[in-house]
Amino acid sequence: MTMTALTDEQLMDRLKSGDTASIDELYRRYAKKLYAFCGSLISARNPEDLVHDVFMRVIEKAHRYNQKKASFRTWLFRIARNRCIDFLRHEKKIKILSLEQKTAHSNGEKALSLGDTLAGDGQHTEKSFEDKAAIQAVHDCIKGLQNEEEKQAIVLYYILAKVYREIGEIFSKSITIVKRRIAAAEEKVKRCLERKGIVSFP
Amino acid sequence: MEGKDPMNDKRFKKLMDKWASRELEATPELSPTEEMYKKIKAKNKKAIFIAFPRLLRWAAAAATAVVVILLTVFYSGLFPPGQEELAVGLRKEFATGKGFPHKGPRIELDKGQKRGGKKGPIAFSQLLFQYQKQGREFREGADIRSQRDEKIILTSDDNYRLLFQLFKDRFVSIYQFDSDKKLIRLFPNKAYSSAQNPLKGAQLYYLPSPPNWFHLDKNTGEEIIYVIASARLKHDWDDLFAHYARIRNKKKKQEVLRRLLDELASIEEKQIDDVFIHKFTLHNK
Repeated sequence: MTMTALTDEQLMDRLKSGDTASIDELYRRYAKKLYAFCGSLISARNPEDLVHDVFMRVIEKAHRYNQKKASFRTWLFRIARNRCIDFLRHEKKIKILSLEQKTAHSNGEKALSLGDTLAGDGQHTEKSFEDKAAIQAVHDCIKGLQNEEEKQAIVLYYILAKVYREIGEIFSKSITIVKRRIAAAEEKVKRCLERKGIVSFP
Repeated sequence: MEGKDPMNDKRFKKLMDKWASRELEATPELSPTEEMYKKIKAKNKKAIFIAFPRLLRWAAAAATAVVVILLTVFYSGLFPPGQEELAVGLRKEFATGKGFPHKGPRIELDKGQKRGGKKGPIAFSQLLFQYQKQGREFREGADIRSQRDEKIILTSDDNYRLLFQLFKDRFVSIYQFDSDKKLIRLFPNKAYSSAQNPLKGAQLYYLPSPPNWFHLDKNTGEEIIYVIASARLKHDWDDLFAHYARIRNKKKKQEVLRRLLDELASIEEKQIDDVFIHKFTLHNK
């Protein structure tokens, strides 16, 4: 049986018994999603390190994983979320220490990033150009969300799966609360896009 | 148009999906680090290492439990209560199956002595300390009741035993405070005698049960034997001794021992009506 035919839980069983190939497959399945999830939440650090951190924890705590309690995906993203929260707390402390310097630096970085994106798209069609600008604006609006839980909820909803129940399990919250958080985040992103003049959402 | 435009909502969702797929596309290819592979292998080795001795430990524990149960059932004398506290050992007679040659001073048992024949409380019609020195094939003895202040000097590996007879049915306790500062209950103690309280009057008892003798260990010094007879089953010293036998902490054990010895000393002083105590000192040289 090839690795791709195995479920996440079967791969975890193999991982526990020392099969290194199973971590390759888990990486193939989830590393990108984790990268996108962590990348949307944190600003300063390269999310690659966080992804590696998360997988290291998966290896370390593999013996504690109980598939009867939660699916692997839920467990993995719960670890990732906790890791990101830890990192954000740490990041906040650093920000307080060097607030002015940090703000100046991040503004510059942001402007450069947007400028690069726009400059690189010069040869594409106008439609494509608009799309890219809109996507960049969505990215910025999501990063700009003040409420961390709303931010995490909307990112998980679009990047991982549009399953409220699963997101509820990751957050340890009810489906109703998750729905409310996502709806609130969507509303804020819409307003943000409006302000940026990307598209109007009445 | 007032309210939400479904087209706009749809457009928003589409834009969000595009953003999500672009985020995933823009992600670099990631692969596990060498450290992860090493960790998986190391963890697996550790798991095998832990699991194997655990099985062995369980097997050893189960085997030990079975052996202990079997020994307890078939050889109950091997595990008497408080055995770990005992400092005196048992030894059979030096002489062979032919019996003892009765040379040297022989102690005759009183036959006609009645209660009230002497002053003070008397419970025992006979209370003898018999000993047998190493390499000598005869036994000597002393009447504990009349030898309160004298010391009998024995050497390590000498043998001794107690003989006693009661006027009436009584509850008997015999303790030995050995030279190692430990208190041992010689009676009741299944290791030394199968007799059970209350002991019958007018019957001769040996402690330990024949053909065994106690033998002195290598620890030299004074050893005190307390012989108590009472009409009641339970006394404070019994509870204290039970407590003493249970304690593992050395400091607490010493504290309880001190209280217990005080209690035994106070019996002598108080001369309680239904309690009779005889104290006897021997010297292990």
